[in-house]
Amino acid sequence: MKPVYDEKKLLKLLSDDSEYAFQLLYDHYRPRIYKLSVLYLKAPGPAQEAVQDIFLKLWFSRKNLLTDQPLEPWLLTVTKNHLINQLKKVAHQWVTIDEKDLASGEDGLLSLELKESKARLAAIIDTLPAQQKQVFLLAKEDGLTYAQIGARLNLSALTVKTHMARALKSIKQQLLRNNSRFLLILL
Amino acid sequence: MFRLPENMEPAQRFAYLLKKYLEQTASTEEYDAFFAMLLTHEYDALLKEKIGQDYEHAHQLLIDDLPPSTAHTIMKNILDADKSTRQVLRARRRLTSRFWWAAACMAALLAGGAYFFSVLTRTGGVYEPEIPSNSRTVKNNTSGVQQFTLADGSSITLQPGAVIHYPVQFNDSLREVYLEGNALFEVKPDASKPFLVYCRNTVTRVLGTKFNIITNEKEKNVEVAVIYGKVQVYKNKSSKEAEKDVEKSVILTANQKAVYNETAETVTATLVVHPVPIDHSRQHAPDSSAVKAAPAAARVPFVYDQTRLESVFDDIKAVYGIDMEAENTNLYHCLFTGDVSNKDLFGLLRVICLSINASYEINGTKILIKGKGCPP
Repeated sequence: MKPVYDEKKLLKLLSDDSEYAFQLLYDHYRPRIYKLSVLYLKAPGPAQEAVQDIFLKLWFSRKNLLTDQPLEPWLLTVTKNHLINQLKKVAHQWVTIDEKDLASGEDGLLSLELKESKARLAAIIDTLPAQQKQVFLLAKEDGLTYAQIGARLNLSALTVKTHMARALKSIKQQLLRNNSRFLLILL
Repeated sequence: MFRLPENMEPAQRFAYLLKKYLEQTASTEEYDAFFAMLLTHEYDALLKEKIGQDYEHAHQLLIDDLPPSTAHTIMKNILDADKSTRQVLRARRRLTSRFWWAAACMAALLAGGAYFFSVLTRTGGVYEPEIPSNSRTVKNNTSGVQQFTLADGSSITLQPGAVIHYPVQFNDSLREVYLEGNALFEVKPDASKPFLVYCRNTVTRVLGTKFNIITNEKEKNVEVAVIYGKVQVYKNKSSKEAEKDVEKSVILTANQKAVYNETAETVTATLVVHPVPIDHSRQHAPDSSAVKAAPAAARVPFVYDQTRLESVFDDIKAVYGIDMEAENTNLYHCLFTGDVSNKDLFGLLRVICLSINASYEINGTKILIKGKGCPP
């Protein structure tokens, strides 16, 4: 990217705590970094946090930057590290949620063959929070993957998975409360 | 169900899964596999390389940039984090609402004079805003207002004697204009190019709004008063080089004003003298005379019958967008009966305070009600 104004001057100003210089640099590099963050984190919320964390680092590092070096490689390195760390956090959460376990096992959800039970399941699904319900139906009725649901609802696949786990957990609890002995083939 | 090709080299497989992850076409099993590989840390170098490649083309991605209000919130969070608490406030998570660009902003610069422009160029500060060589200067020598349109479609109405310097074509990242005198702006929304108004030692960053700038030559201050929307006001660094003190920047919303004191070099935020009800439906700027007109009566009738002060506060907040604070919570229990709908804000407050034996004072951009209050 072509540098904004005279970048060396701006970096010098930045090291002297100029918020104005910071603003110019932020406006210049932010759009790309934000878009890249959305591409990798798959949702606007985490991408906004990424932008904030990356530029926060720039602001806190303002005294230590080499003013005769271009800023872009520095920013890109920070961005890479930040995105990889965030992705790993997501990965960690992803593998921790085991929503499939909730739907099977000894006291798992039983298969519903009776029509009235289906109606009851529908009633239970109806009590779910809107987003959980939406995720659940898209996964179960439309057979979409978490990524596809995420793309449709503008959520990360991790968030979709989390919603799904919560939905299944609450359905299971309600069925157990009603002493249901039906096995539900959910997955 | 899609099966992962088994014969791939691990690195190849990672690249393949990464691609599917980025395209959001990965199945749940592929997600499992991708995240498992990611957590081994063995593919970090590969991932870095891919991020670098994607950065090169990031501007072509079909992803909307941040709404300006969010970009601004993030900026503010960062500066706030440094300045006071070191606590990083998280940006609002999801902003689905479209940023509301008011169609116009108003800048009325009194006095000012040619001095202002020379301030920018003469100080020899570290940063001098570049006034493009192809910039144009328009001076209103008539006794009436004079209107013209900028290249981006924004229009400027100059009051008699006002001077504006503007580029024929704005640069890629900013729209900057330099003002002396009074002017009314009608700014075309453009999220990617903020609109900046330079006035003496201040920079007013337009965040979709209408506002008033008044420079007072005698008092050596510049006043920015917001009619609706939001602006950010900060000191122009070129006016004082390499300063070590904390630079002040304030964000103003409706009925707030910032006063920049040139002697003390501080920006303070407070309320305008005559707060007016916020008109959320306003889509275009009224003419300049409307700005100076007496405050309009509140659109929500302030008529009360044994109403708790707390809900009166809520009404004030809703109509004027001004935060109300009570010195002690017993004040909320006080009841008020009466019709104050024909009063302006401070008239209304005087009546209410008299009736509950309290007083009010302006505390920054908030109004503080002081008094003993009433028993619950």
